[in-house]
Amino acid sequence: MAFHSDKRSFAYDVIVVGAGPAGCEAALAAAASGASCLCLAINLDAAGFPAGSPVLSEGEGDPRSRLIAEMKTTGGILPALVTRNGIRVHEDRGNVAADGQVLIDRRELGLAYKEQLESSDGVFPRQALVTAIEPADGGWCVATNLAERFFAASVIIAAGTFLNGEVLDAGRRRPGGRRGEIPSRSLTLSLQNTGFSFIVAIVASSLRLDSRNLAAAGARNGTSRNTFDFPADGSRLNERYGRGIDASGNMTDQLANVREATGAADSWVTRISYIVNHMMLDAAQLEPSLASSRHDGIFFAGRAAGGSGYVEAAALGLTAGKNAALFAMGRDPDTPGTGLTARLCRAVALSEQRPVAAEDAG
Amino acid sequence: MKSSNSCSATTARHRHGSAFDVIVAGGGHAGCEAALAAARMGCSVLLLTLSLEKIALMPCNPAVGGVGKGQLTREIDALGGEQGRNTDRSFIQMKMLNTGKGPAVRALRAQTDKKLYEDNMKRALAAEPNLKVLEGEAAGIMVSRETVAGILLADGSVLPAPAVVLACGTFLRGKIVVGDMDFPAGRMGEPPARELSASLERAGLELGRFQSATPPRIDARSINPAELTPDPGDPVPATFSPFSKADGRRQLPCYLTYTSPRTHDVVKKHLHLSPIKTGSVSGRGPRYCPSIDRKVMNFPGRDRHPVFIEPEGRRTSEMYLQGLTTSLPVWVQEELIQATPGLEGARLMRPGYAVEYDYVIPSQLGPTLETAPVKRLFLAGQINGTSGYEEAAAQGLIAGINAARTVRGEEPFILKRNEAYIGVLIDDLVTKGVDEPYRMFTSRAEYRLLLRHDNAHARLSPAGHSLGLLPDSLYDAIMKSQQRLEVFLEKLRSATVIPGPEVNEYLENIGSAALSEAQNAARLLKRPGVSLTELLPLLKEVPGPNDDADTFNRAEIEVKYEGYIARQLDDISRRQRLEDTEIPSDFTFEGLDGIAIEAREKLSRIRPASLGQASRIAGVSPADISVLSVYLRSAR
Repeated sequence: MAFHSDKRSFAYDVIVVGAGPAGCEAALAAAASGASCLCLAINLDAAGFPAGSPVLSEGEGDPRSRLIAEMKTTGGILPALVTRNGIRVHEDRGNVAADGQVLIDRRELGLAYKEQLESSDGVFPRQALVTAIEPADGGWCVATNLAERFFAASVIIAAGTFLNGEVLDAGRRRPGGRRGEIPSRSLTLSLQNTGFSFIVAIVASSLRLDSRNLAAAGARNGTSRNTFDFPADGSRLNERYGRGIDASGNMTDQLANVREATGAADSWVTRISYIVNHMMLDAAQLEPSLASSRHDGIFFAGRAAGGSGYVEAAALGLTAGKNAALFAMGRDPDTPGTGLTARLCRAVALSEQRPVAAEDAG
Repeated sequence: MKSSNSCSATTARHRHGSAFDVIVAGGGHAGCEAALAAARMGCSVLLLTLSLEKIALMPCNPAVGGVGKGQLTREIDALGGEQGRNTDRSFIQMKMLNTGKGPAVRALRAQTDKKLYEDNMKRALAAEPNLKVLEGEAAGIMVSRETVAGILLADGSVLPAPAVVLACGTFLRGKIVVGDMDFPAGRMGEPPARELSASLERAGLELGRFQSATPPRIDARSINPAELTPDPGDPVPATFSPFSKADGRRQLPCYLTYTSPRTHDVVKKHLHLSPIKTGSVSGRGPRYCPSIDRKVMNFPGRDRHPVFIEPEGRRTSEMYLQGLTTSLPVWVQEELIQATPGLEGARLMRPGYAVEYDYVIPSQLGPTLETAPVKRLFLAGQINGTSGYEEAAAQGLIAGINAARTVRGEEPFILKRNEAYIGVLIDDLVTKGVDEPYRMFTSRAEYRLLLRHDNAHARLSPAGHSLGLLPDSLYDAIMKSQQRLEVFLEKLRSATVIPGPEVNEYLENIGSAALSEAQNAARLLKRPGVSLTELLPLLKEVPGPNDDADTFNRAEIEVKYEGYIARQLDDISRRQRLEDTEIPSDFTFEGLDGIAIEAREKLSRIRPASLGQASRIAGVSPADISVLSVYLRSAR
């Protein structure tokens, strides 16, 4: 399982491109299956960071809770992390989470995932921006923007919203996988050159508001609008996730919308909403095992595969990680079960409607 | 103009109805200090930064303090700033440096858990009721009648404010360089600020270009600590703040190894690929924090250089390689690491790289860090051509204080060279300018014997208190501690040592002359080799300060160095006349006969505020100063 250093190349069983929740679960699952796994992230500081709502699940009936329950038995890391104090938030300054609602501190979850990557045998996290993936000697060569080259039998692409990511921030277009983060641009072209085809997808990042005026607003207006309509987004900066608020326009517009929604004239937006355009693999090229049908040994997971949501991403990553490891060891992919995870993988590979969230998995 | 405890919003409310007194652009070490200071002084503050996930990042060394820098952090703490306290909450190792040398060079250094440091700083920001944050990009400063009017966001929104602090770090037209590859970035993985530089230039500010580099990080699991020399923290860790409570936390060691001739061979073989040689880095780099490329080039006679392997946190396996800063191609980095004893199997986690960025030539700033062309615009941190979190935080604190005071119509707050390292830092920047990223050393402070780690709180907490940054309770405690010291010193100075067998045996043992007649205790303590620990039991009439190690240590320093300290104080008062002679801000230097033309040009450009500052400008001679002083007298 050890890698060998050959002046400018390394050999791994699996390389995971991307270290968000999908990439982390994939790398950890591959390593748990006995594979040596290099996990590449454009910025290791963001490793494991779940982009999206701090409400991981609305409760028992939420299919995401079902996915977590399944992952508990199939070797995913997320279930254990979510029960940890500090990651799961039960109470925020006197406000209790709604019954069964699973609220998380996203930064803590990210730090925990990063810690897992860096303490698990067989996982080798590394900061790098992948620019090309090309066939080489029966396996794959992954090249970076700093001319590094890594070799592996199989590759999992878990690049999230970073494939040709473009951030639309109040009418301004900038390359970005998220606001303030450089995307991966050459990789998509390289994959297209090897015959992969992609579709454009869009995802919105909600606005965040300053929580300190909200409690006062509720009290002042006597409304029953409790602060969990805007769940705490544990960034340690008094932020709440602004779901359900019209988030179009520039800062001035969004601030006005927030003030109307909260009824507080002194409400403040800490992050305005923005949109990310990015590439997602065409479903026609994906198997329910998350292997690409185009090239042996290339797998996709998470958003790049057509999933939506970080719990879904984790579940997809888990599947891709196991199957990529099996491939590297010359074995067939796992027989998919009948659970929600399997149905999610099928939906991602077969459904017309992309991206696919847990509730769309049938 | 009357001062008040809270700022009043002096601008008309923008249509989005929020009014800020001070906007701070940049959430790094400078920006956080500026925002916290202004908010604590009662102003309504907005901290604007590109990503709220990245507050108070440490993109380079996972450490705060050290020789020169530790003095800055200590002073920040004495003034009520945050860096010292935050380091105390977040350290994984603490070490007092140079304990075997004179007190002027003793400094505290902490290894910090980077993520914990960031989180704790975020909590500090969140705890201020007057402080709001906003994630966004400053596209430009708004200027009206030579005064700053606010910030223009990249999305077209306008954020008006009567005072602005820019603390943009390495993000102005930032470009990362590794080997012969480069791409725009403020830090690895983060896009640069593209428009702000042009806005600053339009406002009349002249920019320069610098570069800074950072070493690779390796995976702790790939090295064997048994092959390396451990470098542990102090058994009883000191703290930057006298109020930080000891919590018995387990410290993590650093490790030491050295490069070998093989390492240097790798560097030499590939030196032609170094951005320094290829010229693909056009900015100047820091001479005192050289890359391994530069060290091998400049010190061909050295067969080894130290490499400290420093943990970046408790929960991460990333280790920082201090001493191997480089922007050589990644594969060369891996080779040279693996050629270093103890690091043969080391796995790279992040490659080293250089970042090139715009900075504002700091001679365009006044001693409050306000810019000359745009009033109420303050700049702090790497944007002024400095390097280091401590240098940045010190500037941020001063900029934030002065932004608040200018909005309130109060006198500026300026620290002099003889009052604080912070004073030395700012005076050096604005008077001498920089030709490479500036970092603090004790040798920069001519009064370093007075500006010590041990007396920082005594020196500066009165100012911190009167500024409103240090609460009464802390200030009172510091003053009481100072009183205890005075009382103890008084006793020491009036105690007598009677010659006797005990005393003389001790003196003989340390190779000092025996006493034949009674001697003043303080005078005896001044003898080389005599320590207060040994002397105190022999002075029966002087009660020891018991558990008060702080008073004890400080007393020893004050007595032993009394003579040297007195000489420095003397020097200061002699120079005071020069420092106190103000040069009016509208004074013309052109056409002054008797002053060298070069000197006149420099004086016109830098516009010193005092004769003292003028005397420190390179190219202005003592003769020029004499002539200038005559002109000033007749102008009055």
